[in-house]
Amino acid sequence: MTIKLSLLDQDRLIFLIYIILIALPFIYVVGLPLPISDLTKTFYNTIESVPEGGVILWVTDIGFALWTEIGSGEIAIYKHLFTLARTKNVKLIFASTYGPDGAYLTDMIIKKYIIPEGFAEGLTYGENWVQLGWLPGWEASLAALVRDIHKAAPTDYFGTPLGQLPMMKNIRSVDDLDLLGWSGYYVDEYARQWTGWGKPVIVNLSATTVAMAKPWFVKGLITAYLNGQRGNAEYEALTGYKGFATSAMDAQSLAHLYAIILLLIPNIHYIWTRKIKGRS
Amino acid sequence: MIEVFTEILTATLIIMVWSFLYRENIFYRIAEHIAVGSFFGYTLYMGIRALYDKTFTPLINTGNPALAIVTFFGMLMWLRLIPKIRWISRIPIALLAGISMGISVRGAISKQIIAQAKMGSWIAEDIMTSINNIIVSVFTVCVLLYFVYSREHTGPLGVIAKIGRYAMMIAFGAILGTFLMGNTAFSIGQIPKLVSGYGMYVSIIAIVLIVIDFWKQRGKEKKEVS
Repeated sequence: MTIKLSLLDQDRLIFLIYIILIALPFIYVVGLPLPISDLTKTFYNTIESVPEGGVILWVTDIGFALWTEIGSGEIAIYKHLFTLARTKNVKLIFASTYGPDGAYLTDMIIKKYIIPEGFAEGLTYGENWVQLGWLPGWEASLAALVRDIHKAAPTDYFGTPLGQLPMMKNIRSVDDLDLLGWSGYYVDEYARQWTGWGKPVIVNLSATTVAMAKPWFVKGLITAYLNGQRGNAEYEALTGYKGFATSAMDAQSLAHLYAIILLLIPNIHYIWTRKIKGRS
Repeated sequence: MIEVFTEILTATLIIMVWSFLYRENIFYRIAEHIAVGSFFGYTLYMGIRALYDKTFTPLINTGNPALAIVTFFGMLMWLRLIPKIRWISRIPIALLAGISMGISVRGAISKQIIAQAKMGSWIAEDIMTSINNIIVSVFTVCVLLYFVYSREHTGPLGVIAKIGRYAMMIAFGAILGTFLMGNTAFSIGQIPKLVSGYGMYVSIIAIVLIVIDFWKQRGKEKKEVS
């Protein structure tokens, strides 16, 4: 018996198998091993090595679209940063420059995960952390942030003038920062403005644009980056703040295997039919 | 109760969007419009809020002339809506483009071009990094020579250009791989909402509806053929 599938049905079949494959690990947990790369360890150590009383500037530019990919790692980063704020009196500045959703996500992470789970215990807004909100202008805002934070953001996310926040009185420019980091899809715009100041620069990056970060990393301009959902899962394992990225790794592995099979089959079929045609 | 409603709504919207994989349909279009509309609405709200908090309030409180100038140029952009004096709106757009370009170029020259073109010693602390340095240097030259069009790609230049082409193919393959990883993550992120909680019931209903439609379509096609 032979089954003839139209091109449309073939597409549907490919999608159907894909959806079943990525859904399976959430029903039956496979638990494939997850070795932690040196890159993720460097990322973790860079955050850990911020000195006592240091200042971290973190720009959340992931937006709603990227949330499903690296949102989980972003939550783990926030938890890590707030833990440092508690244990080493590190000051945290959060901002967003690419789109307004970043500011919303920052506020959501703090209100939904950080405060209820006790990561902000003993910390006060304005003294230990500040949310600058969305600073429209993207690269121009990034450039302004390292030169004069008070000019880049005259008020915080809640409309309070920056000068009225105790923590911000002694923090003005990149000279007062100990670590710069961002999460998002793009690399060049951030790296152009933030590297070369002699401060470590890290990024929680979508896997889609990891290739763009590579040249900056090889030249030592970017200290470390998290490689998409995979990097996020490794980071979650390192910090112990396990989230969605960890559980998504089995589905990722199956999806990649499926993609390899989908690439191989048509090519083998093509070579095979060309051989047969050549013989005849 | 709200949580149940949220779960059902989230799963329904995801399935409405994914139904496009089966075929173009009205549910997909509705979900698409909801997504675009809600995001635009949110962006507009945040834009107005940012303008109010970061520009208007400090302008009133401090009277900073720089903020007044920025606000003035921002207002000029709205003149696009008046056809007779639409040309004036080009001035702030040109200014904005110029400033953005200036900021980008300043960083690009020193860090994106010069800093990355600087080549230290090929010999590094470990052998793998040394090999990597050599590969990067050789392939950079080969790729650059691939784009030399003033000479025919024959002889030694042909060989080098071919190596350059293969180097680019490897790079594109690696980029495609990371693209795949990123894009699969988008869909994997939605799956838990479809296979757990109330979302699972929405998924079952959707599967039943799709199967019915599929057999209906098949029946129609068979009738048309006969």
